Amino acid sequence: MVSTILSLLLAFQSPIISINQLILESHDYDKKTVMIEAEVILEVLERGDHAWINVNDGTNAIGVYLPIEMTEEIKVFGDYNHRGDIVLISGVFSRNCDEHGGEIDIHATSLKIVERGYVVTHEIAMWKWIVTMFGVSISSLLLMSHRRRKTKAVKREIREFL
Amino acid sequence: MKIDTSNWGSVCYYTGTSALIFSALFTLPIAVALLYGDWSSALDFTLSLSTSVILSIGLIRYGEHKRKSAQGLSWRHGLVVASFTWILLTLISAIPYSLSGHSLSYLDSIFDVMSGFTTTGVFMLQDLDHISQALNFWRHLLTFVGGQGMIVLAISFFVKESGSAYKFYVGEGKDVTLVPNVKGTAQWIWKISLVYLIIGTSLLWIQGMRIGLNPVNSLFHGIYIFMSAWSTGGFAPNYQNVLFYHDFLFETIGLVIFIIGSFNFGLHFALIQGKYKEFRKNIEVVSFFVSSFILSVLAVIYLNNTGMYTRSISLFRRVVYNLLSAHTTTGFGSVYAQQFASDWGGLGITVMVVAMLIGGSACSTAGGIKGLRIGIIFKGIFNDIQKLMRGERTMRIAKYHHIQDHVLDDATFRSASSIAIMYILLFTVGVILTTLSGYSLLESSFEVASVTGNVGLSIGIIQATMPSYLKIFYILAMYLGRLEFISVFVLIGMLFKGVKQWFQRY
Repeated sequence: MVSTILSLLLAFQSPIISINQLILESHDYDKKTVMIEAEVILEVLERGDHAWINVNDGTNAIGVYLPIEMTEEIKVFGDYNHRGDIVLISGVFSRNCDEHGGEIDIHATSLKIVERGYVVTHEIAMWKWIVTMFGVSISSLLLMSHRRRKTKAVKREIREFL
Repeated sequence: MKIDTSNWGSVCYYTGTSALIFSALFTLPIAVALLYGDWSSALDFTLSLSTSVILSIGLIRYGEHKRKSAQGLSWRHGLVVASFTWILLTLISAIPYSLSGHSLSYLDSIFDVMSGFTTTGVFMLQDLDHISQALNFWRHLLTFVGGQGMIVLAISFFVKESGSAYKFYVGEGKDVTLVPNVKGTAQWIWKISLVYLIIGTSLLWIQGMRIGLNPVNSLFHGIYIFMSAWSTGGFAPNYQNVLFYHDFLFETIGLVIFIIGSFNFGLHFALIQGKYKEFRKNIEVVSFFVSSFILSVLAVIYLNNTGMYTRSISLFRRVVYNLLSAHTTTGFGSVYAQQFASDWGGLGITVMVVAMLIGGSACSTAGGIKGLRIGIIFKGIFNDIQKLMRGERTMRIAKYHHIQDHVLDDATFRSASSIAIMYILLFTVGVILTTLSGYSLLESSFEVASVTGNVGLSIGIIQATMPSYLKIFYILAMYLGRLEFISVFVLIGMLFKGVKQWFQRY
C-alpha cells in the first residue's frame, strides 16, 4: 500500500522514462531516482535476500536489483508463450554500479503491477499446414528414390569389383 | 563454343551432398519444438527441412551425371563448392527465421543467419525475449556448426575419403590437418568441440542454477552460451546478452570458453597428445597474449583516467572482458552498445577496433586477420630490419613455431600480408560506405571492424532500420571475412566466366 502511494506520488514528480533514454543519457540520470514501466522477462534470479529481474520496455532492457519480497507480486514472466507482467518500477539508476561490478542497473525502491501478464496463443495458418504436408510428401519421395539409387550404385560397384 | 558443364555439375553435386547432410540438423529444433508442444515452430522447421531436402537432392540429381570424378576436381572447384555451399545453406537456414514472424524481411533473416554461420553475433531479430525455444536453439546451433565449419561437418559424414575433400576443407578457411586424412581431421575437430560442449555446458548449467535460473532454463542457457562462446559467436538467448545474468562467475566461465575456443584446433590436438610446450612456443598463442596484454593495459589506463571505471572489478568486467571478447572475435557484450559510443571515447574505441581486426587464431572458430598472420608479419618485418643492421654478409634463416618449426620465407610472408591487406581494404571500403550513410567515422570503424572480423559487438548502427545496401554490404563482409576471400573470389570468377560463355554461345 505504502509503495503504491509512493509510486503514485513519484509518478507526479518524475515522468516515466524509456530504458533506451536512460542508457543514452546515462550521465544525466546517474544516481538519480527514475521511473520505468516495462515487462518482466523470463524469471526472478534470486540472490539471498535480494533478487534480479530483467525488464524490457520495447526500447531496451535493463536489470533491476530489488529486495526479494518485492518480487512476490510478479506472477507472469515474459517468454515465447507469455506476455509478462508490466511493472512500474521506481529506483536509483546507476551507469556504473559500485555494488555490481560497474553494471548499468536500477536498485528498485518500489514496484507496482500495472498490467497482469497473459498466455499467448500461436495460431497456425492453414496454408502452413498444407504447404508443409506437401513439402514433406515430395521430400520423402525424393529421399526414398535417392536412397534406392545410392544402394543400386553401391551394389553395382561391388559387382564390378568382384 | 561449348560450355563446360562438368564444372558446374561437380559443384552442384558436392554442394547438394553437403546441404543434404546439413539438412539433418533441422530435426534438432523440431525435437525442441515438440518437447515444448510448440506446433507452430515445429511446422516452420519441418517446412524448412523439406525445402532443404528438395533443393539438395535437386542439385545432386543435376550434377550426378555431369560431374567429373572426385579425384579429377581442381582446387578451383573445391573452393567454389565451399563458398557456394555457404550461400545455399544461408538461404535455406533463413526460412525458419522468416516464418517465425520475428524477422522484418527475408534480407534480415539472411543477415542473422550469415551472422550466425560466420560466428559474428549481431542480429536483427525483433522481440528477441519472446522468440521460441526452437528458434533460439536454431540460432545457437547455426553459430556452433558455422564455427567448426559446414564443410567440416559434411566431410565428417562423407562415406568415402577423396582427394577433393581437402580442397573443400581449405575453401572454408581452414588449413591445419590434425591427422593424415582430412576426414579424420574433420572428425577430430568435432570430437574436440563435443568434449568441450559437455564440460562447458555442465559448468554453465550448474552456475545458471546457482544464480537463480530454474533447471530447465539453466540447461538451455548453458547450451546456448557454450555454443556461442566456443564458436566465438556472441549470440545470447536474451536481448541483454551476458548482462542478463548479473554474475561474475557466469561471465568468467564464458570468458574461459571463448578464449579456449579462439585457439587453433591444431593447438588443441597437440595438447591432447601431451605436447604441452606447444602452448608456450606457438606463435599464435604468443601473439594473442602479447596483443591482449598491450591492448588491455591501454584500454584500462584510458578508461580509468576518464573516470568511467575506477574500481578494479569494474575495469575487469567492463573493459578487459569486452576487449578479450573483441580480440577473440566473440562479441559477448557486458556493456550496452550505446555505452561504447558515449563512454569509451576515441582511444577506447580505437583499441577495440584494433583488437577486432587482429582476431583469434587461424583454423579455429575465430575471425579477423588472425594471430598467426600478425605474428608472421611482425616477425618478417623484424627479420628484415635485423638483416639490414647486420649487413649483407650475414645469412640468417628466420623461423617461427606453429605446431612445428617453419621457415619464414618470402612466400609465407607475402601470403600472410596479402590476406591482411584484403581485410584492411574491406574494412576501409566498409568504413567509407557507412560514413557516407551518415554515421561518424569512429562509430563506422567500430561497426565495420566488428562485421569484417566476425566479432558481433555493436555500437548501435546495426539495426533492422538501417539502409538495405548497408545490410547487404555487411552480409558480404561477414562472408568474405569468414571464408578469407579467396574461395569467394574464385566463385565470383567462375560465375563471370559462366555468364561470359553463355553470352558467347547465344
